Amino acid sequence: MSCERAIEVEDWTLGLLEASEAESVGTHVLSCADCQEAKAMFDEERGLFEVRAAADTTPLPPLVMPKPSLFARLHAGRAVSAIAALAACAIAVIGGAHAFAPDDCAPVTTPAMTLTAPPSEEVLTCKAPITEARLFSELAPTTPAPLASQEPPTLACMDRATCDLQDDTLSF
Amino acid sequence: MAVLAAPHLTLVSEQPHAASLPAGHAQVNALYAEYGAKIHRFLRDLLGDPTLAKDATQETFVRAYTRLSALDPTLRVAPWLFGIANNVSLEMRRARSRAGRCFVSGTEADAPCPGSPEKSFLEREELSVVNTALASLPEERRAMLLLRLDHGLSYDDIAVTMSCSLAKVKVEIFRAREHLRAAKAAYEGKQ
Repeated sequence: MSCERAIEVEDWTLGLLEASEAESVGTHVLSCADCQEAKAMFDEERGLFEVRAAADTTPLPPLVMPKPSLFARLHAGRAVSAIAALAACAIAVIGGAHAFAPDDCAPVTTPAMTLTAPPSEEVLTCKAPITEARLFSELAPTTPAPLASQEPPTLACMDRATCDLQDDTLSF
Repeated sequence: MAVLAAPHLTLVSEQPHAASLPAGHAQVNALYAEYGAKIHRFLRDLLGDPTLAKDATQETFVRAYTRLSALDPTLRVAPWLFGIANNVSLEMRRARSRAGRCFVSGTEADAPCPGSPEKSFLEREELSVVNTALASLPEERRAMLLLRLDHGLSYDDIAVTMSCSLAKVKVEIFRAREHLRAAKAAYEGKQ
């Protein structure tokens, strides 16, 4: 079975060809032993399936179509779902673009930290450059001075208008 | 609704350039009358479960109804319907595999055959061999063979129905037919 027209012969057997083609193939089959063999084999195989189809006596239930209103609701539901999905996609794309912008992938440069005191207080700044020697000298433990030599703390009266104490300074 | 607003739609039937049907339900009912049994048999062969096949047939025609407006009037109806049926079958098989249900091999070989008891017995034997051979084929190959031998579709139509290349269709059908012939030869050798 090596004829190139074997498939055409099958189609001819099935009645799938146009009239002109069918005539041509019919003429060819008469003169081609390969195609005659192919046709016989195809007929045999198809015969099996025809018997099988004839034996199929299963009653088919009537077609139950949903009501048109149900289809309308289904279509409406699908439209709503599509719009919702579209909106979700848009949000995701916009949000994603923001969240994963290429700039975000660049190394983050942290701003220099500055210690700022509240405006009412004096800003504590050290003008002298911090050298290693100075750092170690400041961190070195210092021996506390004896109590007697310490200056007494001073308390300033904060409310001069109402305070009975006229002295600015109380000494202990 | 869009589907109902297409009374001019002409469906090309199994006989090319033929039936012009009214819209909507009437169209689908006409299709069901012509193709219902074939689609059911095709689905039963693919799914291996007559009950599931009935549900799948209903689903196929409901989908056909919803897609009537999208149908290209120049296309033949049979490949279009078998394509929908094949998709429905695929979905049902996936759902079944997820649910863990087993495949019921073979089809209705015990259906009564007309004729004499001896003929009936032989036919049933032969049908049983065919059904067993079919059931042992991979699903896609089985579908292609059925479309060719049982439903008489052309190779081009099968390629459209199964969404694959013509070359693949030829190879798959060739192998399936070899398998079928081998099973038949083995059966005849036993006798």
